[in-house]
Amino acid sequence: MAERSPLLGEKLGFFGVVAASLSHELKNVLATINELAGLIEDQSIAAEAGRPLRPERLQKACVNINKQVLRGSTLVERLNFFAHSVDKQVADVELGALLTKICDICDRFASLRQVTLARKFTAQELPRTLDPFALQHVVYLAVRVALNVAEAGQAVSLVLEPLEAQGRGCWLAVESENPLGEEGRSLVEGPLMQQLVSELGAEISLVSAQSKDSIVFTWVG
Amino acid sequence: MEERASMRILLVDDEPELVFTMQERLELRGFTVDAVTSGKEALQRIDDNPYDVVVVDVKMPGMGGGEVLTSVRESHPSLPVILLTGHGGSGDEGEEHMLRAACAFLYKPVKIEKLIETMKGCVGEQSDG
Repeated sequence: MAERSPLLGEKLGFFGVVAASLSHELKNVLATINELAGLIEDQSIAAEAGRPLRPERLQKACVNINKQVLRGSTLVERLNFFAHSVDKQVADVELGALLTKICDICDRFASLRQVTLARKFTAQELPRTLDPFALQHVVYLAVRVALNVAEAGQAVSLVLEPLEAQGRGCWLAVESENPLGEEGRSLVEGPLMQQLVSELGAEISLVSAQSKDSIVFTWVG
Repeated sequence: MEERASMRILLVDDEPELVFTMQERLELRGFTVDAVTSGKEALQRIDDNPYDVVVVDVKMPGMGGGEVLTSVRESHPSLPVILLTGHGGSGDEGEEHMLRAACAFLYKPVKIEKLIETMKGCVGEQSDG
């Protein structure tokens, strides 16, 4: 059997992490529906045995089942969108919309660390032609190193802005409240990130200011 | 349905709707149940109450089930801990490691009969031991 290239291995690894995270959350949705449905069954069995029925509890359980179904549907949509993002290596995307999708996915990684993922996106539409999977991958990698140094209660911010006087250019920053240290430097300078950024037609830099680090991706023109 | 059971249970899961509904269903069956939504809160409750068994979710914000288990093994070595996970039983290495320290490992969603049977098994093992 032919060995996977390191880059393909990294890409598959990213795909696996996201699929596992979303499926894990879906399991929570199913487990909650399982308990709520079980409670309705318990209540009906108890009523048959002569206990007074509690209609308000049954109604609340049904409302919460509906909420969980909506939550599950949103998760499936995210998983579906993510899965299809590998369909085309080059696609026309609106950066704000695509970044919102990957932020929604990264929210769970952030919440497990008790960190908030803040979106600070320009209202201006920023269309680009690029590899949507590669963009999500670089954002995930940058967010992951920022989460690794974040403390509970802090925020990691994603900022998307147009470049002034640069035509269609724009920049995206993943801002950490702490220094990203050696891990951040290794990520930015490492072969994986360099390859992905090259595929995206972007430039990457690590910017430090007042003990806070940002990984900045820039598209010129 | 009611078992008039004397078992005192602590449920720990960061999904409030899930953990409080499980609590309600177990109480309907006669068990004494506390439910909390964080690992930190769980450790406090364990220090303050004589539980027979703890059921804890593996993945939670802040302190996860693995950390709760490690802490309980040190502070209350004989208290059985059952781990709950949303992972699909994929044989994850981390989970395998935790399984050795836990009394049992259950995959969500879990039937309440299976949960009760597992809790009884863990408490029974403890009594026998």
